[in-house]
Amino acid sequence: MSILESIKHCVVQGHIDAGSKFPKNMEGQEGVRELTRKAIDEGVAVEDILTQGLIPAMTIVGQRYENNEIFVPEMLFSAKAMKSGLELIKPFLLEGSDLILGKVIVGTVQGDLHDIGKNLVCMMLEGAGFEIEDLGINIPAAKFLEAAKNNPKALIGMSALLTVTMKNMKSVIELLRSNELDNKVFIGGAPVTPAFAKEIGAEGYAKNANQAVQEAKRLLDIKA
Amino acid sequence: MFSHLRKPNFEHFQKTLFNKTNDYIPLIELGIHPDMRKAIMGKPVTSVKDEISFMRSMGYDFIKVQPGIHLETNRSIAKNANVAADRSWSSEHDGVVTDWESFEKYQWAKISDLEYSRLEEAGKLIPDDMGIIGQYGDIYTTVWEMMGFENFSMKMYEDPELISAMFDKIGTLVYSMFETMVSMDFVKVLWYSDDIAYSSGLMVSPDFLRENLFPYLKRIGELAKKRNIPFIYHSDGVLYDVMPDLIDEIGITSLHPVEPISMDMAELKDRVGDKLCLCGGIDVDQLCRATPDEIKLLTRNFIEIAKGKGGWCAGSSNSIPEYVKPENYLAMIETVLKEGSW
Repeated sequence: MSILESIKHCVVQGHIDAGSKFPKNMEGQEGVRELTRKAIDEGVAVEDILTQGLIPAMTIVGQRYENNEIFVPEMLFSAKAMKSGLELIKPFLLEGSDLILGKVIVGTVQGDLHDIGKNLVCMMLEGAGFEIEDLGINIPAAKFLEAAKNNPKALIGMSALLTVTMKNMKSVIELLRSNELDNKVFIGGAPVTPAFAKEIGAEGYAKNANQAVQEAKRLLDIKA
Repeated sequence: MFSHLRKPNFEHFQKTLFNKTNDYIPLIELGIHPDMRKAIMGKPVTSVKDEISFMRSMGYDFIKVQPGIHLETNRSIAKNANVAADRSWSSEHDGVVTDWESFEKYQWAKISDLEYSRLEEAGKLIPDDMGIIGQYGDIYTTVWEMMGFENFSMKMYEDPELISAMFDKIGTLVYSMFETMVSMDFVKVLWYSDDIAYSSGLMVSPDFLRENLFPYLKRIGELAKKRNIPFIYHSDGVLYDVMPDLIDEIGITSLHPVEPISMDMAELKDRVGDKLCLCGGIDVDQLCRATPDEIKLLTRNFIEIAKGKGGWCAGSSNSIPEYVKPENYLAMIETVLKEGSW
């Protein structure tokens, strides 16, 4: 197995480093962190580490999650493994590099403190090559506006888990549009439906973290 | 309040939960927010006596009572100008028990701390035609809330003994509640609630649930079986992957709340309708946003699914929070009372 294939395999398996106990059958073996460092030291192009190792691995992880072959904990391990590699190659990636697919500003709307789903979306988007600005939870519309003003080309991703708080998504979109900002918006969360997205003028909807990646690519006209 | 209000018939409600009636549809809810009760009754509904009279006037055959307990889970509060109540939710990263040290330091509630005075009072006041549901749950939810979801996820693999010890602590307490409730003659239904799934699937693997959670549920199921009383299980989300466990191993008789975004009532009725009574199903989102006429139509569609088959207790697909439109909640009940018999 080539080193890039090994990195990919470790991300899919969620094996972060030699000290990680997950998965059990890989305990003590080199993980994404060691293999990425080794690849950099051996002169493998960071672009290849990203596009042939980390990103395709997270695509597989997303598919497995969507097929209910793995669940949130296993996906978290994969995301952390991917992140451990990403952190090592980030300093070598040039700012504005076309390897960064685009920027996504993500937050859970005001009144809502749920963030497992939002965090998974952030991890999957980052794993797919997007730059993420995670505003956090319980985010007022004004904070989304401020972030959008600073990043007029960024996508805005909003999450809500309650029927009562998903109404606040509409306020964010109205505030963006009244400030003449045309950042594309996509939304998700347990009670959110494609019909609701359409009703409030959101350009996109994602049922889960994997679909969020597809939707972000669609909205930015990036080939899947 | 309702032109077709029925006299309560708890025996019929019980039989429906056993999937053994086929004449009219009883009503069910896991929770009705105090503000909603107040809005409908024009005064707060607080005492057991008030509760009985509220539920009776709304067409329910029961009141649902929980034992008292307090467990600290590191909740945060969201202030929200758009809603009447602030809401709390557990931190999904940090917990109050993150490792063995915090596990040992935590001031665990003891079985002797559990409190049953409201249940005992309800037992004295409940009229003959109504009954009491003893309800609790959240073994799984309390464990992850106490640990923070990320930490819980990591510890599942990095320190499974800690996870097992957490389930043992909470599971023992919760089982003890059901053991006490089932010993009270006037408790005639058990209801365990614990969300284990999202609308896209289970939160954790079926194997994890089988190892850590289901053994407690199985023991609670055995308590219900021994008394020959219904056992309702509540979880949001898609549950197909563990349906055989719930039905055949744990022995639930009834499933709540059948969220439409997760499981379709008609499909579920086809797949497990011969084994389970289904409870709930009317979309909370619609109850919040639709018109009363739309709710009547939606409820009518559900009645059509149950017509001639039975095995459905009508109610919302979760609970009645304060932000549901009262007129929609009333329209749902009115439609069931008026049209839910044949």
